[in-house]
Amino acid sequence: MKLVQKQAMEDLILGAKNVRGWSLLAQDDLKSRYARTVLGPFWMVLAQAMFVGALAFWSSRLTGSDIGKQMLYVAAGMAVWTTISSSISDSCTIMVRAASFVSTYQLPISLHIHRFVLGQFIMMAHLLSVYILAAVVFKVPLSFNFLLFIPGLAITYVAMIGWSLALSMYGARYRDIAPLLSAVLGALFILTPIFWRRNDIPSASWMADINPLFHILQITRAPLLGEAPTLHNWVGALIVAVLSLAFGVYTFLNRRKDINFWI
Amino acid sequence: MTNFIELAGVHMRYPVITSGKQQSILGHVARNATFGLIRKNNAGLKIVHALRGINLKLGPKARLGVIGRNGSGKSTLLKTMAGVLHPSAGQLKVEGRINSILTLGAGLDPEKTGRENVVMILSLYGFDRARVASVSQEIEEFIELDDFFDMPVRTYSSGMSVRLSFGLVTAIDGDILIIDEVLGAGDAHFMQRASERIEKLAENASIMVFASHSRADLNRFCANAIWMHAGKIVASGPVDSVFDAYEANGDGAPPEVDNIRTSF
Repeated sequence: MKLVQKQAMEDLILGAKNVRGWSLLAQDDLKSRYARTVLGPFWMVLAQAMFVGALAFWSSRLTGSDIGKQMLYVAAGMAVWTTISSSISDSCTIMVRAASFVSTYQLPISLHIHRFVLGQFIMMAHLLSVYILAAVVFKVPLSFNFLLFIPGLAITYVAMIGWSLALSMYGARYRDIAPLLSAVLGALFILTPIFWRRNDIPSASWMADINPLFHILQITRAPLLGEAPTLHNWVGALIVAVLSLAFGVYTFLNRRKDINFWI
Repeated sequence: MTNFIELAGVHMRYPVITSGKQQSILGHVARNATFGLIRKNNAGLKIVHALRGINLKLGPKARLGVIGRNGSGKSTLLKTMAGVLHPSAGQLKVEGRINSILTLGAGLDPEKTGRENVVMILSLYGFDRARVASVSQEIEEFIELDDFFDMPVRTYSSGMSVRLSFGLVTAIDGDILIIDEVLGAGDAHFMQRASERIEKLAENASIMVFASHSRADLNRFCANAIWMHAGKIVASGPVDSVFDAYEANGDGAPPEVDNIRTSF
């Protein structure tokens, strides 16, 4: 390992260890979101609720499925999908937004990765309130499968750390990666089973199976609906998480040294 | 462990971004796919070669002044030593905790009050609650912002932000102290107090590097100095002799010398 890579590794370790530091930063981001408007992040939740309601209503008419079931399905799916997709597109600007911090203080810059990912999960908790409302209204059946949500979240967390590390570096170097990814994610929203089910359209099921984000989505969404993700989903999600983390660490080790030139 | 800082053959080349196209992945792909036929030369990205093979070693008790004209590479050298910039070639080895005062007024959140900024940064540096409280009180007394300390930083004048960030960074201790020319901003009263504070910091630090245009300030803090010109060290030695050579040289280019290997 070259000296610069060792220094980047040290950054990664010190950043991860400074739990109090990145929790404070994430808390601070949340506070400033609440400070801006009376409802703060709940505007996002309100928008999500309207969107979920309309999408579930429309798609239940289209497929002839039960409206309550469809509400739950879309509410759970959207909470997870929105988190995944915003974590991908927004991670491109992590370092750019933290530029003055990064170039002023002798602090590990990986702090901002953990701050960002924790922030994404805090937002997910907000979005899940739409799902909880749907779960109360439409009475989701209780099941031990709910517990699988926890390992699902853990795997998602690892995957998210990975792609945030990589995209925070590439996104600073190439500023058009963010709009490019947003364009791709827009298409993926339709192509991923979020308001449709993999098993409902047999001719399109391969599209779900080769979609890495489908497996990540499925390991947290299925438990929320009281179902168990398939083995295929677990394996797929684990592969995505491992590859994502490996790629993220590799990118960070090699690009951390140049980050100040590009932000 | 003895503290040291060592630069071996350090070069620094950095890109100067003048157009969004230089930060475009689409442009990058187009160039590579067409072997440069579509857009040549990385869309005209200029590379500044700011440090050209610096060899410098500082051991315990080193007090080094850095002089040189604007654009000679002083700030780049200090930023590299501080670990903010990483060498494009060559190696930087550091043993000891670094504290640097490079750009005052940066790294503050304008929406937060001075106190909130101080508490946040100190916490990120790992100060525990009790220490955050005592140090932020000490900063509050030192910077004399009175009621403004509890107002958002966006309401500060530039002099006030400089005071706040000076008070803050000088409250963080390090074995190696790196100070870029910062004693120019602020009123005379504050500057007097600021240099006293630097003196105190320097007493506790093992190594100090200080860039300045003032012979008096250099003599106050440093024993030796280097003269930077066009990214190279062109002279080194006791402060006064290096400063004499620098002044005698006037505006012209210095005698063509190879990079001087320096060790203090």
